[in-house]
Amino acid sequence: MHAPRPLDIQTAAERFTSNVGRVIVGRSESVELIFIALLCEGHVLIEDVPGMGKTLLARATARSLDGSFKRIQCTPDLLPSDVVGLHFFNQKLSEFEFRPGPVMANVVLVDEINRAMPRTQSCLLESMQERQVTVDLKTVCLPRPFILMATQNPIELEGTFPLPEAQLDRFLLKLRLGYPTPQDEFGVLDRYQQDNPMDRLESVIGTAELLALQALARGTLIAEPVRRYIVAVTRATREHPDIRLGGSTRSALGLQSASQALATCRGRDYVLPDDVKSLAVPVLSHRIILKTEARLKERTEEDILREILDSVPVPTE
Amino acid sequence: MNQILPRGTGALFAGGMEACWMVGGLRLLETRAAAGALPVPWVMIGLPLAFTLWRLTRALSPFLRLAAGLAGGVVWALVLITFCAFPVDALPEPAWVAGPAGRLFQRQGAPNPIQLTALAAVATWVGGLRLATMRVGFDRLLSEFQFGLPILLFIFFCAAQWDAVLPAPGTVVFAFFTFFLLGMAAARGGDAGGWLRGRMRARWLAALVFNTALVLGVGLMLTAAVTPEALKLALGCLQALWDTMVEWVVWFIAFLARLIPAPEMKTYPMGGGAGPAPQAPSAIADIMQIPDYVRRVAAFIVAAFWIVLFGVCLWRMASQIAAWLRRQMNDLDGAEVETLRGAFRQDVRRLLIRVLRRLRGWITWLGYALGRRPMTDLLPAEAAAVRRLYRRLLAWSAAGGCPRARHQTPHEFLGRLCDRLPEARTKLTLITEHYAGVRYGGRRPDADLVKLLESTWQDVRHMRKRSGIQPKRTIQERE
Repeated sequence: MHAPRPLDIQTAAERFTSNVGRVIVGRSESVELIFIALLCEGHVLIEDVPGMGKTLLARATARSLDGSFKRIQCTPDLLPSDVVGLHFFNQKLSEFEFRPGPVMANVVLVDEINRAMPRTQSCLLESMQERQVTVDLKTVCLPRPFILMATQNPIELEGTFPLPEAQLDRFLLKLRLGYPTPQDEFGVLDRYQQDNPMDRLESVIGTAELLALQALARGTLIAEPVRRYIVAVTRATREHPDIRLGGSTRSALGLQSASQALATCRGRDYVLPDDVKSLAVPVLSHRIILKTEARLKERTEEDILREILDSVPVPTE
Repeated sequence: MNQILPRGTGALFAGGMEACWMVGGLRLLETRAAAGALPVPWVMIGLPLAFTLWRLTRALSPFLRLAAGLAGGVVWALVLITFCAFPVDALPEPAWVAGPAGRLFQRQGAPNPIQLTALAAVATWVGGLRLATMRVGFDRLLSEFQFGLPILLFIFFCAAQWDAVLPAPGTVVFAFFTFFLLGMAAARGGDAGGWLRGRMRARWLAALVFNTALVLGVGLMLTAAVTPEALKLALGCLQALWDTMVEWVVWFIAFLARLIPAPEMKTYPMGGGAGPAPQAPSAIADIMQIPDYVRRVAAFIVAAFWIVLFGVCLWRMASQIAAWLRRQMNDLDGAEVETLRGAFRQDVRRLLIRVLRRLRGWITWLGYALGRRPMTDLLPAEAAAVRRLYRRLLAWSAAGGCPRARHQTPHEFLGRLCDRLPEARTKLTLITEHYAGVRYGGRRPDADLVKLLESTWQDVRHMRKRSGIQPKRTIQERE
């Protein structure tokens, strides 16, 4: 395989978008964001009300990749060992044998993640950040690429456990799908009238190709002024009077890598401040905590972040 | 917050304020230049007349409406100078028809009362047209107040300097503030949280009367305190301060002059007799001598230039303060006020940071001016040229009323610029794309590309000149 170029990433992005678009009508922005997360090997949190296509989007993404896929349906009685695996005693061999959990896959869908108990949620921390799991003092590396896609429903609060900040911070992007337009909704009905297009979905990107594309995206030039701009935006989230907890250094790193990926998706080999601005909301919105006063004023994280983006000077002449 | 008042109500308050300073100005003009012959009440009727005419002709096309407005002004000025400057019993005589026109264009003894009357009539008419075309809201009333108050102060200052006695200045000031306060109350009255609809609606009239009485009382106290002697004392202090500053400057210049070595004295042989007779001035010297009237005109132009400059500075500062006030009040719309611990300290800190940043900018500029090369000069010449070109584009668009906001990226600014100048979209996109490549992508353009961008930039500039497009500024930009 020849060394990939920015053009290859653009082509791969188009392939991926059109393939997922066979199942998901509209939502091209969300699909593009997911592809960016794939290029950064970042995890995605999809949050929306039931029936918006969160799980379908995650499954279509997994199906579009030529890699292993596992699904974890979170329930309150789910245990950490159900996720990461466990050592069981093989009576035939008279020894303990490691049985890997569903987290050992290239793409892992954690459905309704906020229904799992905090101890089960926390067992994902190591795998999300370090791409490994430790079971009974034994550390097992996860297959690469490793991408975790989680969904959660923000409406139903009974029987759910809010995700801790440490875990939220490990998600690169948070997506909200929202209701489709009437035209898109009609398109969904039309497409699903006869059968389920998911059954015919094929993989369009191999894991080896994805790893190569990731390396290429990481090599995208991000000039010093743009990096300073990322730092300024992140710092502004910490100094805003309506924010109790601002963005972490990890969020700045995530914003940088996501901006690099977006630039390559758009056929550029350098990052513009526009890339940073367009990704600041999905990268930072789930990592900041608003003060109670701001919530009472019905201000959202997106509003505050847009306000910050409208106040931080962009490096130019 | 900025509730637009009904046309008549808004015009009443704004026009009231306008009429106050107009009356003051006309009275001063009458006292100083027209020897009491200026028919001020009649002249002021032009204000509502122009307003009414403009409102009545709203069914016409804009061109016809403008023509009707201007024609109305001319007719009104002629009628006024004819019927007010000549006694009624002289009307049957045929001389009155040619009289006004003759005196209107009479150069000897200008300005005569007829000319002043015509000028005042036209000014009030234009004021009435202006009133009819504007939509009065909270911000407009604030602007009118900001505009009218310095004019009133200027009129009273001139009157004090010329020892002119203006009739009822207190009434004019009181009326001015009354119109302003009533207008503000009306503009705020419709708000959901305003006095007219809030819990305090039963007391808003009392509060209004209290405010008015307060302003009047303070005004009376100021009138009592600011006597001509006090003004003379203040002016004397200013004069003394100015003299001291001039003395210091002179002393400093003399000190510097002492540092320069004195020229050596040369001795010349003493001649006998009275020496050669002085030569008669040549004709060329006479021609080269600047006539006195040219000197006077030049002095007048220079003085006018400085006065206008000073006025513009004052106006600019006042506009900035008013815009800041408006922004603050907009931010406060619907807000609940609570004390914030450390807010003042934070404000002061921000102010100091801004001052220091500005200072750093000046020092950087000074360093550049003194030959220290900034970072951009470390770039290759072509890349630096592209960045300089983009800086010129920014300065040019800012001068045309479309400045780049600090938070806008070059591409966001490009979109805004293309909205203003759609025919230059391709050229502006070319410049912006290459600038972004140089600034963020480390591109190194070649000399041909720089030439192409230069020519594109010149095309954009000329395109703008040819099209003669004036940027349409939004309210936010004006603020």
